Amino acid sequence: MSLFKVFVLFLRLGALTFGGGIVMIGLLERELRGTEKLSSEETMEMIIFATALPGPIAANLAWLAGEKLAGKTGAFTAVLGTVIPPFLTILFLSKFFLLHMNDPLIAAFFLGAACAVAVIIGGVVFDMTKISFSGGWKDMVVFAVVSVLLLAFRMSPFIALGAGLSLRIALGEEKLR
Amino acid sequence: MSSLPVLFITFVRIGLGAFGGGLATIPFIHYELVVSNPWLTEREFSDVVSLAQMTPGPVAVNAATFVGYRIAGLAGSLAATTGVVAAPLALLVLVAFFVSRASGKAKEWTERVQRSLRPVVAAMLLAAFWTVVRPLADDWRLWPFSAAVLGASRLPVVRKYPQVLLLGAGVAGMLLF
Repeated sequence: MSLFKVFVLFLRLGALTFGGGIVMIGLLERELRGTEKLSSEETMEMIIFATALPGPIAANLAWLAGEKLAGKTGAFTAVLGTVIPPFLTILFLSKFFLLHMNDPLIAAFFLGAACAVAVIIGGVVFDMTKISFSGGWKDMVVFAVVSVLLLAFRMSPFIALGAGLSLRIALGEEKLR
Repeated sequence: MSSLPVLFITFVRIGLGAFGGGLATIPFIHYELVVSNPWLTEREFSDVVSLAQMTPGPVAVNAATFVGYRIAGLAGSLAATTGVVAAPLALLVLVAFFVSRASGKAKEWTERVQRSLRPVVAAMLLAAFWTVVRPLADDWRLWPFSAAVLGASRLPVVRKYPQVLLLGAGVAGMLLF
């Protein structure tokens, strides 16, 4: 695939991906379906890689997919394409927002929107907790420990993450999944 | 004081802590921008998260662009966004290199880390939820309002386009608050 095509493809994905990387993989699969450029095995491997490591998942996925499509320059191009639309959007909105953030009407808008954000995150928490609780008592223990470290002890999320991940690995894998 | 290196390093940390992507990144962004540095107030943080949910792209990238711009203009935006995207990619390239060298063992570990992260990420999401809800909880008007938003979130249009919920709640907020 030519670099220009890679750039345009990821520019489009970057502009359409609301909410983050997992949404992007669906869009990417739809775009490349039938072109035999990515097998579903390769896609699965990319998802595992992009989610096992830190960083914005969309950027990680763009790097991995771009590399498969057009080598290292392709990877760089794909990341650039993915980041440019959100970058320009926020840059444009920042100017307006910083000028008007204390207008009562704008403040009221964001107060209302914050309630919607709370509802959306609440939904994600509900789903994620269900998934992690289906993983057995070890997952529940880790979930509880990390939650307490973060919410009750106000610990740095970096430390909580390290502790939770080490604990989960130390507890070992379930024999039956 | 030159703020560009500080911005860059802060967002490198956020990028490297952002396991799980998307909303699970919120505790890290909050810790770095509200708790460790006096860059955003609780209310501004909540506004940034709402803004990030309404626009395309990962929350971490959106926050980087906004906070970078606010602190040091366009150069700040570029420094922060580059930090949050490039640091995890450097790690990704490094790990991919070792995985390609080290046969099946390393791949097995990547998958194991990904599975082990699940309950940790669920707890991060719970903390993200609390971060968003805490500043809202004191205002009694927001409770019935959020209940109505929760009801509206079941609508088919909203399930397909979550941004509609944010914009709708924002406009309703402008009319009511």
